[in-house]
Amino acid sequence: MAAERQVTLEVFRFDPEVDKGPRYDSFTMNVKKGMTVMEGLLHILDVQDHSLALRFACREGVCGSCAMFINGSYRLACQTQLEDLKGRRVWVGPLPHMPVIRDLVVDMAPFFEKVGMVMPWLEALSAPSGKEHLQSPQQRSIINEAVDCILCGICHSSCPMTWTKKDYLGPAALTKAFRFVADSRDVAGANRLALVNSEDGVWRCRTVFNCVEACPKNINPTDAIESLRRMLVVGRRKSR
Amino acid sequence: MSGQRSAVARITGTRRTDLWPGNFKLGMWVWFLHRLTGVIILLYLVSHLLVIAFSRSASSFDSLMAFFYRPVILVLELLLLAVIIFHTLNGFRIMLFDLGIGIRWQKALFWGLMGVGALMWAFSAIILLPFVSGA
Repeated sequence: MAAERQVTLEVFRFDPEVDKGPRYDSFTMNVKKGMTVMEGLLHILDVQDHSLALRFACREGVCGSCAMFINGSYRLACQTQLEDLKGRRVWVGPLPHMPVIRDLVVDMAPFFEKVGMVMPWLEALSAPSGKEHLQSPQQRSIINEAVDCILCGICHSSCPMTWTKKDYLGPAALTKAFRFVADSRDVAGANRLALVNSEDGVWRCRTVFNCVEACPKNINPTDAIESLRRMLVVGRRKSR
Repeated sequence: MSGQRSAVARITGTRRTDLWPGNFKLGMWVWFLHRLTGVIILLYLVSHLLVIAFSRSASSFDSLMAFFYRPVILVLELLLLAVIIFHTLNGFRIMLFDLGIGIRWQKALFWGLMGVGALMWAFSAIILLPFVSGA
């Protein structure tokens, strides 16, 4: 019988209402081929410790609920296979620099507040007419990448500028702003550009590229932010 | 999260935080070093201006130059040159980003520029080294 690999998950535990400070609990388990960190955490929840708190929904990298800090990288727990992580010890913590509610669950409210500040919806010119708002493949290709955002908060958590300035909109909110400003069907681009044209908007980005490295959907927020900057400086037409 | 208490918990253990340099990615290192070299250059410029400003006569200036004309100082100058070359070329890289150039290949751009910087530094070192050994 082939020996199953054993892995120890070191899981961050913290309940601000009870605990004085955080600690790490160890859970050892057999790892099957293809097993993800998410499955490991659910195994802990099922058979080892029922009190572990974590947030998840889809388990297939679409909902963006299970963003965590795993072995020194920002990852989605459901998209990270234990086999791919080197070593027999895997450190699992909540998203850094976010307030912890309990264990791996962080308070996402400040993050969603930022996203909500850039008018993250389509503002169409005409009232609903029963017909589609047409868009050419070329027009769509501009926003192909930004549309993929699942609002997991990883880029926001990874950005040194959000660590040091609470009011900074952050890479996710600014990418969302770009997604609608660059959308050919949208008419509120000027309003949105005005919203992000501030010290704590597009101008706070220092091109550290942590967000680009961390994004589980391979979105490039830096490119989106720099595009918004060029739109603000030379106008939207010329910036293409 | 109404009514629920939450707190920013400092993740304990160095390797487990994103502030641990071992977890830095290239862009993070470059950003950090850009800040560091900026501070070094600022400190150098201030001290440089003070030194020049306080040597009022030709003779005091000459004795000052004689003091600086020694291998240790020349080696430090080579280090300073490396700091300035790094800061200049990375500053150029950041400006290119604002022009919409190289954002998608920032790492290649960085290493390419550092290659140019290494050549610039080597060229300067070849000129300066005889002074270091001969002083």
